[in-house]
Amino acid sequence: MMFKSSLQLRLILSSLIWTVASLVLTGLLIVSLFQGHIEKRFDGQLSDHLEELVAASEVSPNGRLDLTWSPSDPRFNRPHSGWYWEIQENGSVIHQSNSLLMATVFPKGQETDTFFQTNGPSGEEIRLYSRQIAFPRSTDSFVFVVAGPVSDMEDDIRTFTGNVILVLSVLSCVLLGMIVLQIKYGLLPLKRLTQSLSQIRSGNLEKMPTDFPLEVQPLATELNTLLEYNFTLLERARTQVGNLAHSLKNPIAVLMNEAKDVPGEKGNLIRQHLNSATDSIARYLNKARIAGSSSLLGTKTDLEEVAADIKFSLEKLFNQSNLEINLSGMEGLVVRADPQDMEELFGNLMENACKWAHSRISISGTSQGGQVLIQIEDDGPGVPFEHMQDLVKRGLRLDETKPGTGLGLHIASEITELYGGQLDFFTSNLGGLGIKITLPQAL
Amino acid sequence: MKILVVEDDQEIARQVSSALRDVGYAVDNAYDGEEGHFLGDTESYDAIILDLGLPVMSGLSVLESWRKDGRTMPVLILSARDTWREKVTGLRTGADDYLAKPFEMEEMLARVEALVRRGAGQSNPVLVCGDIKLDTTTQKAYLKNETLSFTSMEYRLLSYFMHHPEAVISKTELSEHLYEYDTDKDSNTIEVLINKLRNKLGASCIRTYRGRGYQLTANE
Repeated sequence: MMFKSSLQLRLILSSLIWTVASLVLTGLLIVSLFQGHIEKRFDGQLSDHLEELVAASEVSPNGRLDLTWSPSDPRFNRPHSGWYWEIQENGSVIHQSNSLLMATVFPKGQETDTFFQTNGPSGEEIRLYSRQIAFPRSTDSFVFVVAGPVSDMEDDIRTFTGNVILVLSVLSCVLLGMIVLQIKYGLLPLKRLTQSLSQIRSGNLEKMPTDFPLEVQPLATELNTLLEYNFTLLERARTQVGNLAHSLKNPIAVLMNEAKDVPGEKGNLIRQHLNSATDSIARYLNKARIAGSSSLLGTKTDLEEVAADIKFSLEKLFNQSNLEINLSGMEGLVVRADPQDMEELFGNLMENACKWAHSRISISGTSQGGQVLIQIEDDGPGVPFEHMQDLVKRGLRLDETKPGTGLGLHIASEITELYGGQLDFFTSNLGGLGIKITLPQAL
Repeated sequence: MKILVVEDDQEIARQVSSALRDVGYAVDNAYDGEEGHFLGDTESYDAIILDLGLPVMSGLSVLESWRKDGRTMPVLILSARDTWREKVTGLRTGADDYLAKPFEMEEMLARVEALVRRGAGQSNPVLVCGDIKLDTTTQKAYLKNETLSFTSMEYRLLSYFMHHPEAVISKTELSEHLYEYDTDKDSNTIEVLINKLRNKLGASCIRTYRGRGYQLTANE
């Protein structure tokens, strides 16, 4: 199946694109919202710690700032924990957390009363909050600084992002699965349409079913109309041809019988022209009757039935000749062809065999490689090899002693050709002429 | 031997009938399906020539109806319709032979002759009974290889006897197969005809069974 021409693939691919895009956008939005929230919480924590420091600070009458207690959070005591605080007075550190190990985190000249990020004493990324605070008994202003590791925040965000990706991936998989199912279910009628069509083609179904959904049914109905039209067209043509045959043949039969008694040159002239008129009528009527197209939908023919019908008829028509007609290997030989065409094909060939046979006619069939092969053989006088290719020439009769129009084999070869088949001649083991018919098999 | 010709085309019916009469058959004509069906159902025919495209009732339904009623006389379909489907249908419906128009009169006569013979259970075209020989293809009769000549009624009678040798045939049956539908069936003329035949063939070859009928026999 071509990628771009598959409706199903097209729908699945387009759904895939919008599903993935919208899920990625959702994910980004959620993560960025969460990030903002985490930052705000972190900043709140920093400012809480700073408030605590301020609350613990007390300026003595001599202007010295003392801490009445140290912040209780143990992380401020663990060295290089990332959690630090310090209090500067005029740019020099007067108090700091144990975790700082005498280092300083607040760069000189840094603007106060803001949050900002920098590197801690061991190079880790930290977020600082500083505030300049003046105390009533001191003329100096003090800068309080609290810092916490950015990695704490990032860990939270990473974990959260991981979860979001996991959840959204699972969701997208489920969604995609549902979409595929939905599309398959939605397109089911189209698949059934194709199946019905191929069944009609192979002749297993006569017309399209009528239980398709609203959107597809018009197509099926249209198709049925077309099939029916095709069929009636053929039937009508055949009926017209039949009627024409009837109305022409009666007067010709009368004329031919009357002309028999007309003497001399005049009689010859009349008879000759009547004969040529008869031949033309037979030829063109036969041609007009051939449906002759394997692309005609919904036709298939069981050759066994056809051969059996013709055998039955020939046994009656050649009743006096004591002919033995043998059918073998014809079971299940089905071709995609119009039944009436096959009847004409087998009728003409088998009748020809009966005409020449001494006592036996054999019809044997096989199928191989999508082809149906049928051999019609007789034990008659046969045809010399060098004349075999002349057999299908229109109106040519190799032996004029037997009655016939010389049209039978010509029509047979025309029918086989129209169905993409072949007619071959050989000398049969029975002694007479052998004809091999090759036709495409129906599945 | 009597033939029914069911054919709506007057000209063809006339030609076929006169050809049949020329070779010694009694011929009845029907010009539509219903009339043909009635005659075939009520009269005895040795063969029927049936067209398919008939007014009122199609040839095929006529044939089907005869066969359903158990009428077994031989039927030759003579039709302009010559596809194999039509031939198969006609023959499967119960026809014994099928001839497509336009046709050679000789071909038609040969087929009718064969049908009549087969209907009477004879396979050889030359019928033999003792010293009497009848060649059905030439309509010539021989007594010890000497050619005999007959009037048409005498020939019809001889032909019927020769088709059923050694059988005892009633006067009614004889008149049914000798006289055409619209002629006067005078049973006395049968006796006259029998006597004429006896004069030509020898008195002992036709036996009389009182109250039952006549028999053509080789055991003189």
